[in-house]
Formats: sequence, structure tokens, C-alpha cells
Amino acid sequence: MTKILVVDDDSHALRLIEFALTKAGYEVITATRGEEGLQKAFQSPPHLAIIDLMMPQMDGYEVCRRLRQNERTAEIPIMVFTARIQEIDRQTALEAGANEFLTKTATPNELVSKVKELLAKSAPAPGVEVTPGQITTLFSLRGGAGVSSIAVNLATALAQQPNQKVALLDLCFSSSSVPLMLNVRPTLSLVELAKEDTTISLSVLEKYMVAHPSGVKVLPLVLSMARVAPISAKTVESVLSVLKNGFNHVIVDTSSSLDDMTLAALTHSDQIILVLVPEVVSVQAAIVTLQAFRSLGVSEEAIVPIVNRTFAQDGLSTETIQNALKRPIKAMIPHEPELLIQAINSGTPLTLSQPATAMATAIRKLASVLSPS
Amino acid sequence: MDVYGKGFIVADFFTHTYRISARADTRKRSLADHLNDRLTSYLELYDTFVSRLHKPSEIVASYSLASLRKDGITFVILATEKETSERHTYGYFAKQFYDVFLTVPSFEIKGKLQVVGKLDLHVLLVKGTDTFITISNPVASPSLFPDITFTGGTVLVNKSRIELFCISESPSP
Repeated sequence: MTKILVVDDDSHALRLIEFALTKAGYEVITATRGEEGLQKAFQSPPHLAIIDLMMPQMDGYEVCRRLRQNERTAEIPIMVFTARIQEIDRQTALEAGANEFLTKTATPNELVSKVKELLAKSAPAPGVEVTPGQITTLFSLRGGAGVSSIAVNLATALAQQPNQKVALLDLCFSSSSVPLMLNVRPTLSLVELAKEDTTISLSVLEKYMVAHPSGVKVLPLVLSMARVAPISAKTVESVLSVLKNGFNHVIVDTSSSLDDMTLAALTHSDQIILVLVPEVVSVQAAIVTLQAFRSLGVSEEAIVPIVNRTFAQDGLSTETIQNALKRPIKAMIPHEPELLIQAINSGTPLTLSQPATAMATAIRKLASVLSPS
Repeated sequence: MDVYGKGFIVADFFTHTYRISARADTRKRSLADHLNDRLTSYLELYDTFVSRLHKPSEIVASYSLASLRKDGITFVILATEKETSERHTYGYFAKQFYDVFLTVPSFEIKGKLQVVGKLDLHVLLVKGTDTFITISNPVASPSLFPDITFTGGTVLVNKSRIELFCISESPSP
């Protein structure tokens, strides 16, 4: 039975809300004080919390904040139900972590329908398994290997599979091209998130992500280089662990250096796609990378080497590359520069705009390796 | 805060420096009737939550019982129009709405004034016996923080606090 926690200092309102929700088939737990409500929520997290704003000692804003700060209750949908009707109250409640703001001018029926709506929004769609997801980081120590292009196309290819929630995390300061390649206009980024003194939860991350029509949710690194700020490995780790619990696949686009952010992503990944191009320097960089992975304790099975044929002729053969790496190449991305540039310029990944091309097919094949179902 | 209890009205009371969200016991009368009742100078409030004007959503104090001096109130915002007096809403004269703009200490208020019959500002502001006038669809903004707005169904404005009263020449459509 769906459990709802109602926190309201007014016993009359509390009884009425309890009656309406019980009649609608919910199990209702009540509390008349903010502290009492928090205690009950931490002991046994409810499916949804309805919080009054105007309560003595601890007001509803603070209750929302504390629910969001606690790991056990950070993801609970919160509805603020208050007699305060002003826009500034709504804004403050949403900033404190509420998902919904309803004034007490609403009838009990309206309250119940809002509760249903909020529960439906927060629950995963039937048949969608959202936890635990897989983190896949794409990396190349040699720049210009097409890591971002593959990351974007891979994410959209995975999102085309049934019931797959896909997040795309941009960790590349030097290009930061992911939003451009998907033609999305984010208003917030990881840099802004890192500056906030807030506990990272899925609902917090959702505010910083931008949705692409394919279903991929993008978390950009930075909006403009004028806003660049350092991001700690701890922040990256927190973001990844939260995304892992909210998405089936988390695709991470990294820079071509082993900086703190990249190292954090690599060491927390379930799979690492090592991208190389068929030329000697790239292969040499891949060998060095594999040595680095070994010293970082990355599992051999987690590494998926792939070759991106970024030029038409005179590249090293697959056999030569495999011999040099002493491991098989799992995928070969064909050379289709005109189509790729066209896709980048139009802001629509090749897997969506030209799904029948050899490159899109190869990326879909790679996606099926990551997501066999 | 109880909005379901009979005889109680939840409202935002504004002085020139504070926002006071509270429940007033109207004893089944309208709040306007209570405010215009010259036999009492104070309004009894329950479950009172006080916020400073520059941070109107932050609750700085809360008390279960409070008394508010009526002449200290600049205006009161109510969620719906039902909660004000209806004694001027009947009659044989046409009811018309005029756009109004008024300034009171620390605030500017825009809204619609309902006028029954001929508009006579002297009657409305000077000769009329009511201390508080009713304005519908109000938008009140603190003069120093114009980005913050307070809206509702009705606002009851203390006439003695009005500094500037502007009204459209003809009724609004």
C-alpha cells in the first residue's frame, strides 16, 4: 500500500487530509510537528510527503530541506500544502526541495488527484527497470579520436531501445560540445551544481539536466568558458552514483587527459570504451592508457577497445592494432566524415538522422554490446 | 494552518515592514466587516507567522495567539473574493470595475475597484464610513523589492494609509 506522510500542525486540517487520502486508498502517517515528521520519515521512508509550511518551531521549508539532505528520504516526492498563496512562497518551497506546491484553497478531491499525479510522475513507467544502471565512460588519451561524437550517438542509440533511461554526462572542458551536437540549450550545468552547497539527489540533478527529444538527458559540464570552475572528483563520484540509480545507462564523455574528473569517472565505471584511431600515436596512447588502467585497478573485462576510422586510407589494420594492444577490438566505427559533419552541424546525431548508414549501424551494434537485451 | 474551520479566515496581513500570515476568527462574518467595525481596535489572530518584508517567505517568528492593531494594518490579501463583504454588491445600479493604482507605505497596489452606480471618489475615500476598501484581482509589490509580488482574490486596503489613489477614467471592459 502506498504510504503518505502528512505533516501539519493543525489537527483539523490533518484529520481532513487523512480522511481524504485514506478514502482514496492510501496508508496515511501523520505528524503535527516538523521534527516528528522527519523522525517518522527517516525511520520508515514514505512514498510521498505532504508538508504544511506554517508550523511552529520548524517550518515546512526546513522540513523539505532536511528530507532532501537525508540519503533515505532524498528522493521522496514532496508536496507542499499550505495556506500561503503567494508566488514567492511557491518559489521558496521548490528551492527547498518540494516537487509540488498546492494551496489550501484546493478541495480534498483536488488534493487527491495531485497526489496521484505526483506519485505517477515519480514512479518508473511499468516495465522500466531503473536500478542499478551501467556507467560507460568513453576515453582516449589521444585527442581528436571522436570520443564526443561516439558518446552522443551511443547515448541516442541506447535511448532508442525499449524502456531505457539514458543520461549523458559531459566531463570534457576542452570541447564541451555535447549540448551543441544534440542541439539542446541547457540553462544550468555541472559547474553551477558544484558551486551549490546542496546534497546531490536525482531530483536536484534533474534540474541541471536538459532533455533531448530522443529521451537522453544531458548534464552539461559548463555553459560557457567564462564560467569555468574546478570540479572535484568527489562531485563527479556523487553525480555518477546518483545517476546510476536513476538511469539504465550513464554515458560519460571525457577529455583526453587523466584529470581528476576523468579519473573519477574511469574508476567508477562499469565499462570503459577506449577509443583509438588507426594510427601509431593513437595506438601508443592506448597502450599507455591500458597500463594506467592496470595501475588504477580497472578490471580487464571492463575495457572495451574500439577503433574509430576517422580517415579514409592508410590506417593501421585491425589485426596490427589488436596485436599491439594484445586484446581484441570490440567495434569498428566506419569512416563517414561528410555524414558525421552534417549530423553535427544539424544537431541531430547520425543514429537518429541517418539510421541506415554504416556508422549508425556500427554504433547501434556497440549499444547492443552494452545493453544485450 | 486551518482553512477548513468554520468562522476562520486565513489571510496575509501587511504592515509597512512585515507580512503576517494568520487565521482570524470572523465569527461567520466577513473579514471586511470585522476590519470596518469601529467598536474594536484590535483583531485577534491565531497561528500567526511573521516574515520580514525583504524576505517574505522566511518565517522569523510564530505564535499561536496574537493581537493586531487594525490601524497598523496597511492592507490584507485574501485568497478569494468570497471572503470580503458583499453588502455593496446588490442594488439597482450597474456594477462597474475601474482599474486602480495606489501607493501605501512601502507598497504599490494595482487592481480593480468595483463601483456601484456613479463613481464618486470623494464618497469613496472621504465620506464613506468604511475604514478598509476592497480591491479585486490585486497585485501588490514592495516599492523597494518590485520583483516580489503578492496576489490574491481581494485586497482590503486601509484608507488612512493610502498616499496616492489613481483610477482609470472609464470602467474597464
